[in-house]
Amino acid sequence: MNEALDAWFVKEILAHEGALVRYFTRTWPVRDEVHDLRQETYLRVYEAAAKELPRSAKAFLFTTARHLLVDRIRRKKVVSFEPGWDLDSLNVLIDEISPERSAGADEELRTLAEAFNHLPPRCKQVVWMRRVEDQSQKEVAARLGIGEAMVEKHIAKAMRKLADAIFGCQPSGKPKGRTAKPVREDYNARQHTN
Amino acid sequence: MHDSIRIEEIAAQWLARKDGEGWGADNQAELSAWLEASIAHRVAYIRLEAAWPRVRRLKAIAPDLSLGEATRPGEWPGLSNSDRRYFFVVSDDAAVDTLSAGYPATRCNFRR
Repeated sequence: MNEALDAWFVKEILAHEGALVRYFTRTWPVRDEVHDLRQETYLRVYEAAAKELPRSAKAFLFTTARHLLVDRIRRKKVVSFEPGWDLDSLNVLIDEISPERSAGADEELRTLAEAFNHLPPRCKQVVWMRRVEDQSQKEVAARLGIGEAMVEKHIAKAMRKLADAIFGCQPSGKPKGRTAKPVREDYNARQHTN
Repeated sequence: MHDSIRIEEIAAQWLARKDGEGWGADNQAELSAWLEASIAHRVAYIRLEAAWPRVRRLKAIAPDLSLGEATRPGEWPGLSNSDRRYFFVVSDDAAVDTLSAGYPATRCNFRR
């Protein structure tokens, strides 16, 4: 399919994953749904970009995210929201949750290393041997005395955890952000200062 | 379980299989079919595919760590503040020198 589009998606969209996850974590009261919201947003962005690339990727990403939340609220009454929660809560300023990171590459490395350190021991060994020591999966299996299918399993697991760290800057795989309620307070506070 | 998590698991399985030996045309055709079945599949796959090579950067932190040192439980060498010195002792590697260049000069006093 479209490799240029894939590259654009990685560079312009995935680069904002940390901010996107923080946005959902702060505005959406159901923590378990953040992963699904994130992926649904990616799907919508990719689908739209396949037709025409947006001029500002970041703005388009967050507009899409907000529309998704509005759609979900309208479609279902399943979620019980915090008292006082309303659509205004979705209006978190993007710049506020996405401060330009001065730490940059160094911080990313540190987050990656922390996530690596949180992996189960066997998983860590497999990742280190395969990615840092550049051994083949077959060699890793032989050295650790486990089956190649097991090596594959460890890699699949590690890949998901480490991707969360690389794109979302979440060392333990759990969002660092706060729940919906404090956002409400933040939102009110900002209105006073504005 | 949410579909999105299940899809991500399957995407990771594909990439892990591709990362191993014996990946052939049949596998590739099967993967392509899966990727084209849904954009949800595709975005999950692209994301993990982009992340996996970046895991190599672990090497930049502490290139000389042995398998045992790198995978022992507890604080990771090169990460803990108390163990700062180690971080710079191993920094003979060009990649790590580049990395440490971003640090305030005072921290380099740890280097022996």
